[in-house]
Amino acid sequence: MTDTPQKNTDIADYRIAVERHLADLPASIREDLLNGLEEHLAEVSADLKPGVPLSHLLGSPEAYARELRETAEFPRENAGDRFRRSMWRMADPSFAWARGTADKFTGSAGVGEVGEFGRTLRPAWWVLRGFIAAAVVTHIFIFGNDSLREAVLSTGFFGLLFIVAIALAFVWLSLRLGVRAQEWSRRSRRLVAASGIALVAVGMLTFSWVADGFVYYREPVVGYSTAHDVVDEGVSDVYVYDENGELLTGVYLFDQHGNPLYLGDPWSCDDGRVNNPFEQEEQESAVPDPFAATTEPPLDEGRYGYRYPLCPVVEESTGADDPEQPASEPSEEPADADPSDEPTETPSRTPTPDPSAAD
Amino acid sequence: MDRSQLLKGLLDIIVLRVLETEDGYGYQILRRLRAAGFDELGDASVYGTLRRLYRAGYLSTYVQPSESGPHRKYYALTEAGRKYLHQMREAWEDVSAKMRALFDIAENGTAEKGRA
Repeated sequence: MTDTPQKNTDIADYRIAVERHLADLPASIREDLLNGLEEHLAEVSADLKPGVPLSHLLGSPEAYARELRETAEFPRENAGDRFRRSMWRMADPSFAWARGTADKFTGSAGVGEVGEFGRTLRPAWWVLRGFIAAAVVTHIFIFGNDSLREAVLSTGFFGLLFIVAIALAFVWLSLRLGVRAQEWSRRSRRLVAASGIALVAVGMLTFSWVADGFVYYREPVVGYSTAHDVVDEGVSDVYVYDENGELLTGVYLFDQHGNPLYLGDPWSCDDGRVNNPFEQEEQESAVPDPFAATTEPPLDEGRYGYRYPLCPVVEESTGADDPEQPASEPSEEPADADPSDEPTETPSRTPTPDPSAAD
Repeated sequence: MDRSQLLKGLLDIIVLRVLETEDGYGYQILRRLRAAGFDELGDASVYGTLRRLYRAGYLSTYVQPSESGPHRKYYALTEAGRKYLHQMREAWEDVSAKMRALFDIAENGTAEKGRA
């Protein structure tokens, strides 16, 4: 069928009438509909007999526009939502598996699904967040300031009360924030959550020295293997001098609790003549012990620790031979460092430490 | 409830399903639907749905000359359109099964009451 001027006019008029009723649609949608509408109406009119108007088949332009309006609008996602949706769709299989496993785990413990369980943990997180904030602020602004620190510490009980008050104040603020934030927008809640994570990170950085200090002070006395840690600090052997500057050999060291001190590295001796108590028997048979005449053999190495110096000293020395230990220096130290009245007694007596010395 | 209103909620799946096996142009699609028994669907609904699905990326178009009339704009499913149809079909079958079960329960319950 060929187009006729009458049909074309009919199509154009119909289109204009429809356009008039779509004036309030968003411009992009309206243009998309109208740009293709004339072609579409031409297809429809091809079925019409000459002289029959389009409205006979399609109804009034107003009704047509109403029907078009009802079906043409599409709730389009913005770019951000579309991206998130595609990401979720990609991660969906593994996410669903992880979520299902987590649900089974918490469900088997009787605390419901993981989401439900997480919600019950929120107040605990808010309290923890408050404590961390209080700890960071106290550490930086009070203990980081000499005068403030002295002021707080010197007041004793009231200083402690002050710190507790700070902690309670921050916990209260954190709880309040947590409750309020639930009514905020998703973006604001995410901001609060991110701030909480950042606070934890700052707290870990601020108090990382606690963990370092624990390791540093604890390790050197806990056992044989820790001697290597001490080596890292530069101590490979120990030399003890009496008040006359005489090097003491066959010495054992104990802490205030009577536990042996494992300082130095038994394997650090250059010539391989290790004075390692754990190999004492082999050493005695293989290498003559130059101190055998002056020291008694250890009673129980495991109990009394290393015998110092670890590395055998070939020549009896007053310390002057040791470039790092001038004779005049060590002669002063033992008097200050060790209150023992019998520093020159043979080591065989020292393995019975007096715990009262710790006091 | 008006049957046409019920169908409007299914327009996407109806139009996409018609185009799944064979491309078509606007008025031809309407005729296929009418042949399938969807007499209530108006031309504007089908045309509006086609344009909306096209804007969403579920349909593509191409023009072909016609021997008996003006050039025709054919619509074809895109890959996204096939996925969307698949999702819609699953949703429809799920709803349809539940509706059927719901009616079966209601009818059986009524029947049992009647017997009692």
